[in-house]
Amino acid sequence: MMQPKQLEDDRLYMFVFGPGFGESIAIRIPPNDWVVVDSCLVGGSAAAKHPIAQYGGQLSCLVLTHPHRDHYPGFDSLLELGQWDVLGASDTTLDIDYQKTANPKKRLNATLEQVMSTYLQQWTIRPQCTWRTWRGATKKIGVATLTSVHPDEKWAQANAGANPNNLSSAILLEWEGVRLLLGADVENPFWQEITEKFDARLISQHTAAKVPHHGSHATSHSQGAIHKGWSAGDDNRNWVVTPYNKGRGLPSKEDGEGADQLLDSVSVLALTGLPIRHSAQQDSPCETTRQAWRDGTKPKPITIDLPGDRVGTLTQTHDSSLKCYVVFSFTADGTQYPPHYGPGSIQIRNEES
Amino acid sequence: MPVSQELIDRATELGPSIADGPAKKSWIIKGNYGTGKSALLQLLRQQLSNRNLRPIFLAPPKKAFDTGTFAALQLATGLRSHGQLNGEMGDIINPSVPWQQKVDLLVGCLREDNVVLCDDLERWTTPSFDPSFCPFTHRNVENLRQRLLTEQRCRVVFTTRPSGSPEENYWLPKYTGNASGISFGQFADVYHDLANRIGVPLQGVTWFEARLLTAWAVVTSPANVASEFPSWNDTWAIVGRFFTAVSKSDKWQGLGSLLSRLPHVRTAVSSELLGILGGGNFSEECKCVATDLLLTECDGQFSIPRFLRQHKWVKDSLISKELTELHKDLKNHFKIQVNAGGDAVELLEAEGFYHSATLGNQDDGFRLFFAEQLHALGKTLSFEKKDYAAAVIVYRKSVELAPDNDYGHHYLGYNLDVQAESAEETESAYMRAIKLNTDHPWYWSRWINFLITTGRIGEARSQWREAIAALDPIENMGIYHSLHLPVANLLAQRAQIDFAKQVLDDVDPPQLLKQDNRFQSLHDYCIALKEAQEADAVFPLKISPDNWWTTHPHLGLPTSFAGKALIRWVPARVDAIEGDVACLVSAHPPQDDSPAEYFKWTLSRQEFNDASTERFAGLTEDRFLEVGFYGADGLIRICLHPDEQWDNLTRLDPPDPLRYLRKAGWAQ
Repeated sequence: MMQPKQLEDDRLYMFVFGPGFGESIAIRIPPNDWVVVDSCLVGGSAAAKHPIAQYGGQLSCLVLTHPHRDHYPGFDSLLELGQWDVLGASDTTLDIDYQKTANPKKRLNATLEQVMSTYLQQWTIRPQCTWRTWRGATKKIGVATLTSVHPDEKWAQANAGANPNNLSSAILLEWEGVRLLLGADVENPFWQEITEKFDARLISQHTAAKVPHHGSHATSHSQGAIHKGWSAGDDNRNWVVTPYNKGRGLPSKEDGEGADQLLDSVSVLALTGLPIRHSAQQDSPCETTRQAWRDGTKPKPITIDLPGDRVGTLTQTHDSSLKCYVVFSFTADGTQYPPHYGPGSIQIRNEES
Repeated sequence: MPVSQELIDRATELGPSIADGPAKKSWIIKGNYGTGKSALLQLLRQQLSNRNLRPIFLAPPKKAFDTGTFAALQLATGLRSHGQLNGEMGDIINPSVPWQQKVDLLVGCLREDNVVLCDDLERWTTPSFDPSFCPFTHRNVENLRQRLLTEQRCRVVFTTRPSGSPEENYWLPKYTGNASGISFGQFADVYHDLANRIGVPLQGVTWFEARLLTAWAVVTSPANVASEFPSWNDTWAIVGRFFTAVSKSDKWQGLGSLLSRLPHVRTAVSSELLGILGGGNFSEECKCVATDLLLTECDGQFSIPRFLRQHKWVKDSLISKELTELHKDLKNHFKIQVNAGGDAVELLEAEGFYHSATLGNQDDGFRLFFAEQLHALGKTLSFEKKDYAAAVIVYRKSVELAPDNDYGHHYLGYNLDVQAESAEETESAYMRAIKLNTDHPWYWSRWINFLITTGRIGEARSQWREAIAALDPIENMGIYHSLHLPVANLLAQRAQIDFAKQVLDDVDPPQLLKQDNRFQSLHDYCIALKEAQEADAVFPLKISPDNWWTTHPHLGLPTSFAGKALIRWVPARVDAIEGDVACLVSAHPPQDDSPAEYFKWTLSRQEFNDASTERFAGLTEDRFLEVGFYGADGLIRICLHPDEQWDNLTRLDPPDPLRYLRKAGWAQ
């Protein structure tokens, strides 16, 4: 099921985009407030622009969770859409490591200068639009409440040079009987601290979640993002993971890692896409099992042969079509409706389920 | 330089013609540089005075911020010397009185028996493409010039270079080749020696050139100059050789000192000041060469001709410290002169103000007469001393005195902008400048770049459209360099690629993108970033997109290895290093209408070390490399692009696009 033709007035819609590099969440809170968290490029422009342009509505809240380059491509163009009622961010410091690099991809980081410049200008001339998303800070958007659950302001200021993931703003959105956890890129050990600072049920008993940090698992150099504080709970919660294509990529499809661990807690896991071109690109959704995905049987990666039995895997590029998204919708009582899966996305279960 | 008999004859011929001619008429004296136009004008001054007319000589410094100041003050002091302006001088030197009011007053004082003699009138204003162009000064000077020429309140005589269309009442001094009329002072023998050696009269040279050759012969020898004659091809070349000869000789050190320093004085100078400028080694012989052969003289005051004033040697001969010392000396000299008083003390004071301003001094006790005089001070403070806060104070005063001063408003905005100070006042100043003058590309580009820098990209787009509508590329020759280049440059450096491309697409002719390195670099940069945005990057920025997909690799991959031919090569970028594995992104070239295809693959530590002269341990993310495949079994060789920075874009101005963020503590 592709994008909804129209949005029902009484439903909250959560669009999650993730083409393999970057993620963006666009939430329509009834009747017509848009909350957008982060940005990535899909279909040749900022992903969140597509639903906003298609369905219309109020530019209510725009949040940059952290200044990592998979979270702000196209963010500048979202700012240019018009005057947002609220602009949220916690960490506003720029890491200027790209100014003389010979790598054009890294030079694109300068987009963040534009984003931060607009933030600074808007926060200066319209202080009422400022939302510093430090832990505990809230914003009312219509009848919904957004609460930042991370990062802690004092910790952030004492650790200005910390990994931006650990300074990223995870947000809890509450609307009537619906609770959404937007996990940003917060990794452990911070989830333990979050569940201690907030009512643990608030964090774990959510209706839907954008899984933090691409569903990363603990490795020798990372504690990963999966934590029982948010993962333990009903198995019918709606989880969506945005993939990350650098190196071997996230989430891991291997046994006991990433996706496998997530599927211990929920019966179905939605992935907005894969960083590679695959055989089921046009299915909506591509329904598969983690094992089939792991084994490359469904979906099958599209490969390219190199001399000497070497094989490359084609990546997602030069594509103007709207793809790699998942849309959840709920009514005020928490009733959930069948999700919409965009081209390239996949729906994963464990074989045994 | 004594005046030649031939010029005296010309003056004697022309003087009565002007005096007896209609009282409200213009005369144009046309001739190339070095033909004696200025000297003739000076002679006419005496001639006309003798015929009971009231001449006023105007020769303001050219292409200067204070050209208008000097033109107005010379007119005012000239009128005053004839008893035509006394009580009104207070208004003329009051900087708060608007320019227009001052000109009304001055022109209103002219009488039928005045003759305004304007030297080199066309060069009073600066072409708009010249870096020193100041629209405010330009407008003021143009206004005065037009009023003098069109109102016909008195006779006007002006000099200019020859132009194509014959005009009524022009009189062109002609050089006859007869050197007998030229005065060489005590160096007549040297001239004759030189002329004899050359074997023909110095036909075809101007009077200035004849004297210059003689000076050169004095400094070296007639034989030396004759041996090189006529290997030079223009006056600038002769001046260059003369300067070189002076520089090489200890004996003429004082002359060199004078010639390098005198061009920095814009007024005619006294014999005493010549001595000061010549320094300790300024011998009597040096002085004679200067006064008999090189400088023009009128009423005991000396001026340096254009060819000597503007030669590159002059610009290069003083180091910054020496120039500073010179301006200090001149400032002090004019201070003494001002204190001593005199008929035209205001002119001395304005010159003193200029030297003080050039030093960046704000309070040397010289009075300010015109708002435009502040521009030299503002420029020194801003561009040389980088004291933007002080420059802001100067430009604030400038626009307070002359609210219609678009240039002052613009640079008030600029100096605030550089400091990321008071965005509100910056905006107001930039906008005011544009409102006063929509025709200046720099005003638009700095304003648009301010909007981009402060994150107001939507407004920047709208202002860009307005700028394009307001500026006519045919009338504004510099538009592409002054508007498109700086705007596209900042946009590109801010990764606003689509907008940058839109700006570059407006460049007409499009060949400019290929012909001008600055445009070419920007154009390539935008293509590379666009590709990276839509797909990926497998080439470093130093490789132009035009050269990405050549048939051969860019690095030193051999055409064969271990007896196997290179069958294929791919560019790559290290996307990640994970343990003993390098994850690469590579691409196949575009084919027909299909774009390049990007793919991921991996190389193990062992494979890399076997294929490269560099070690896997030193491999880092984002290194660019090329991989060659040899033979059917795909033996590989790897060459890495140097791990170097790339900084080939034009420098931004203001230089730091992060300045507002830094000020807020958002960027280090």
